[in-house]
Amino acid sequence: MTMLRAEWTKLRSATGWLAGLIGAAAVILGLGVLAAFGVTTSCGEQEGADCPHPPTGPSGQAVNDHFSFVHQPLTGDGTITAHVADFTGIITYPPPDHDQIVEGLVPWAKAGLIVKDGTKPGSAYASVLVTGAHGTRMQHNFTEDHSGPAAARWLRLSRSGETIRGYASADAVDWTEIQSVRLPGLPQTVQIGLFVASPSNVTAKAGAHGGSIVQARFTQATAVFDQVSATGSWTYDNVGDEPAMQTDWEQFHQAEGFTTADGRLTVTGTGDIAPAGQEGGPTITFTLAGLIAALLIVIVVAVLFITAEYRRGLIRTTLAAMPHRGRVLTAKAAVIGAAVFVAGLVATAVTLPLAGHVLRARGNFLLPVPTGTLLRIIVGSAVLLALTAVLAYAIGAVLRRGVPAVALAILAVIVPYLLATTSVLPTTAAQWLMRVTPAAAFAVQQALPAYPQVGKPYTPTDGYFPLPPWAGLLVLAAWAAAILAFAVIRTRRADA
Amino acid sequence: MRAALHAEWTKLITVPIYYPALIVLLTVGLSVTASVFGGEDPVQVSLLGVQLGQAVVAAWAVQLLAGEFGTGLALATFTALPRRLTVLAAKTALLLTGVLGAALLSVGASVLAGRALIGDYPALSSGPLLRAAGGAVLYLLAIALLGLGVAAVLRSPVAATGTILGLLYLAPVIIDFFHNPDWQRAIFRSMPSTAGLTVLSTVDLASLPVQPWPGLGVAATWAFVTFGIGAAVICARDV
Repeated sequence: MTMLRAEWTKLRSATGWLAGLIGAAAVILGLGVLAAFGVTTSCGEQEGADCPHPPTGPSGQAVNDHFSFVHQPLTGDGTITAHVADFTGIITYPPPDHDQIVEGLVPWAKAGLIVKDGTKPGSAYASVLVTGAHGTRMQHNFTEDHSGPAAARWLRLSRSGETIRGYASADAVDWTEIQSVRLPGLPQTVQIGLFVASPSNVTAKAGAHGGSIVQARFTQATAVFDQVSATGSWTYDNVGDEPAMQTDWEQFHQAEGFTTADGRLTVTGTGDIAPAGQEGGPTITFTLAGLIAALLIVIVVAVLFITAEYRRGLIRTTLAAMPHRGRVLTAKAAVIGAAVFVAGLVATAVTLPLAGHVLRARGNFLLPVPTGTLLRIIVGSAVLLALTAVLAYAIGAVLRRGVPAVALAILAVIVPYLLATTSVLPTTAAQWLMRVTPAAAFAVQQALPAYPQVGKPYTPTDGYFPLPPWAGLLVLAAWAAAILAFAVIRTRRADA
Repeated sequence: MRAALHAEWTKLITVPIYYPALIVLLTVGLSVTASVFGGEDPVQVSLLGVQLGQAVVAAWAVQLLAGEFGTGLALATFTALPRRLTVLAAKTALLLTGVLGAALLSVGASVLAGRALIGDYPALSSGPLLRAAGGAVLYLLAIALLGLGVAAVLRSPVAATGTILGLLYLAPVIIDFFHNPDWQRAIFRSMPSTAGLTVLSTVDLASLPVQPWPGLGVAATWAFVTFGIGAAVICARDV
């Protein structure tokens, strides 16, 4: 306890160090608000005109909800069964040559049965479907996905109250229940029917000048349904379609739509029913622009906190007063870590809400982020700052010299992030950097989850990291702890 | 000047020389790793290590100059050699020579590794490759000068290291956070690392906010101006 107090007194009475910590907090706030003021959204000719932005799903997240829907109303309970007799599609200009339109389905092309709360994009739904390459699935409310038998082509969806059950079968005799889900608040009358969606063919490649370039190419799928059990009259809707965004293929070759002949329903569609990612718009996290500058300041202060003791010979006094060397080093680490955490927490807790307010007041759309995620980003960023301080301090305690310690800490924390997000390194290399280096902790800033059922490359450049948030922080913590332990062992053995 | 050079040389070689070895090690290490993965612009990929090497160049420059102020050695140096510009010139000459040697070695090795590892690598005599390789060496020399200048102004070795590495590494990261294309272009064109490293690009030059040679010119301007201010400060200030 005395040790902690002694070290805290040293930290707070060196004006430069305290100024550094306050400066780090000020940089987060200043650059955050600046970044918020830098954004102006305008669509079309008119400055500040309202831009189209993605609809929100039942649990508040931004979603894509664009598909061909052949439907009829269902009041109360009911069941629909159909056989997917044929499922084909086209992909426009795919790699490697990007020179022709080829026949084929993207892996997450979807055709199947769906129960939906009306035709408004973003409304609740549950569906059972066949896919291009992932077998049969039961999906509901955009984020949920459950796999069924791979080879089945017979699908069945039954509604009883708020409970929807999805079944699949290869022969229409043996049925497998894929999943039973609840759609809370589902009204008495819903729309039930057939749907087809075909998400863009997306690839990411390293950009010639750094970062990664994500390319999306239009695709379209056509499914032939027969043996459809429902008999009423069908209505067609191209849910979530924007007529102004039609491709040449849709205008001149084949539009989305539906035809029926001899009990066979042929449905052509494009789009996707899935959670939206970073391509839907910015999230609030970009207002943490100042965090990286704050990290740099914190590294300098933390290194000085230990190397100054060696430079001025103060360490001999410190160790004479408190001979337990390991404890002294750990106490100092705890003090610098805690001080940086508090400064960082104040900064991030003020910056994110304030910058969000500025952005919305200026008419910008932000992808919604749940409160829990926002809190995780606020607290996690402060932990990232604190652990970086401990890491830099530990490097300083091992090297005892300021210049190489600062350089090494920056090369360990900041440069891997830079290389992973802005350099010409390809995505696989970038992802490895974000797994094993101390920069893995930047994962705590990821605002939107990555979904396996969205056939999209999730790259560090777009703000998607390979490790879950807290695992990323653990990697940094492990680095800091290991180097601190090494410093303690060294200090015990070496002369001061 | 000869005495000054001799004195600085002695100081330089009697402490263990980690820095030039580290420049080569980190530059070639990252370049080779990147070449294994490949990319759109083979030349730039094969020279990616410059991103790491520049940190060591800057740290070396800071250590050489500000290190003396930190230990009080500067007082002895300037007592023995009262002409401060001569001392600075000797240090600069030695540092630039050392960086030139390390840079030639690292860039040469990186290019050869790139040629061995990347399939569609341009011929060694191709203009863009020579420009990128020569530009990489010049860029590292500019960073050395910039480091000396920052160190002369700030004098605290740790603060100087933090400042120059911040100057080099923060710009490219912060650009991504600003969702304003005008600001992004302005930052890219005016910061030494983003503008200067365009000299490594050989593909799709038209989409760069600043062209390779003018970009290197931005880095050189930063270097000369900061070095000039540093020299003026060294002459004007008490030790």
